[in-house]
Amino acid sequence: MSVEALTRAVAGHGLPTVCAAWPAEPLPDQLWRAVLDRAKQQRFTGLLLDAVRAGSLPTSDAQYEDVAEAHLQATLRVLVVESASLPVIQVLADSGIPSRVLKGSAVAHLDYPDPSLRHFGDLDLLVRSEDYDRTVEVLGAAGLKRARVQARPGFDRRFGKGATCRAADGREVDLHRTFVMGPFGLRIRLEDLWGPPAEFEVGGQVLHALDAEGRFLHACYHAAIGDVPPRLPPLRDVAQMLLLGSVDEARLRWLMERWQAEAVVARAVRLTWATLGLQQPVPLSRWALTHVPSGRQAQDLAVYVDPAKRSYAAKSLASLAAIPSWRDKAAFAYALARPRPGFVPPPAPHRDSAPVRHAVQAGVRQLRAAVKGHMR
Amino acid sequence: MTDGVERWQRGAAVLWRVSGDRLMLKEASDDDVVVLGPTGVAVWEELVEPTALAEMALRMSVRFGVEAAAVEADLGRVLSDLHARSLVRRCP
Repeated sequence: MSVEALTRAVAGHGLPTVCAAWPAEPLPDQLWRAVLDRAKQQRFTGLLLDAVRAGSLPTSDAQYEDVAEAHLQATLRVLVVESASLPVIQVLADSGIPSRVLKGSAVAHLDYPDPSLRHFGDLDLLVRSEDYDRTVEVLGAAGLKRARVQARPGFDRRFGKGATCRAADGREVDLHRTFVMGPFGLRIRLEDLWGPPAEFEVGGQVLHALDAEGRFLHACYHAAIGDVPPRLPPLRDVAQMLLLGSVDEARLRWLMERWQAEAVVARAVRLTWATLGLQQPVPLSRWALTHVPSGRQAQDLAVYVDPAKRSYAAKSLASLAAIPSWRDKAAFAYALARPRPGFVPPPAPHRDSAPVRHAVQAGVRQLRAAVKGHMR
Repeated sequence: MTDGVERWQRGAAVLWRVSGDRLMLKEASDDDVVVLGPTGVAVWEELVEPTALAEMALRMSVRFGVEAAAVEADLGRVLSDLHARSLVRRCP
């Protein structure tokens, strides 16, 4: 088996309908090292250790010790990150600013049977647009300063995705007011994110997260348009929530229509099924396989995922069409044409990791072959 | 529980994970992470609800095939150490 195939098998470990061909004997040490390194990069040491302990992947004693130690070290870092997030959330709550924990910690506790299967490296927090500027001030007073200058005062609050706030000791908070920058982020009906929260407990503190459909949609945005090529953890999250979670498909479809996000969800689900080798379809994966995006959504998707079109400028241009009022369009265009000194457009979140790209491309080739077979 | 027997429970502000057969505990306001072996995982499972030391020792002696008195003595030391780090608490 190749490193890519083994990495995908690890990413899909424990999911129903995955048909992974695990080796019958422990891997040669060089291959094992490569798989372990990949698991560390993708924060999958928990899934790898679980696959080993479940007997899916045989190991030598030394290999078992390798993965057990790697997972222990990775989990220690997660505990430190999670612990450091508690006072940040508390300082916002004390200032009367409601927040929702996004991705990492929330998904680990709410969507996985054991949070140690889902690792993460930072805290992502969603706040309301109207609280955004004050949140930046409160975090700044707590030592977490905005890492980048925004284009104009109020620009992030009105049009942006959010900002990274960083402390001198290296702690980071990714502050969000929406899921992504650009047209798909601007079309999200943000009021839909602020219904009754899902709750989870960390260190005796009750934290708030998005509901199951909100978490699933965020995972789809992350998987489909967050990185090119997509990273494996958000693909796993999509599968985990759809196959083992409590996503209400009727509400999900209602939300994705309201947010004009069908192309995002379809791409995320297709990538997930292809990359993780999921065998059996569910209603949403059947829909995703045959979904043809509207012309507008296809154009918008291209500015996120097409290497020839994805750029800050292309996203900004596409954003103009997604901003409803002419007054706001003018403010948006003016801010980018005459930004404040020091403003630098954020780099594209481009992780052109060859191994992951190969794994995803191999999955997509298999999916295309399956679709061709299905169409005959 | 008003029988006068001292019971033990997980600390109120503890973050934890199980990694394989090891348990990691971190008190929210403390920088240190405590790592315990397989027995620690079993102890932590016992501490979901307030539990008397003797009850815990009896169950674990059956589980691990060790004499209850020896388990109770070891458990007492472990719980005292965890208590000093606010990782467990005493319940009346």
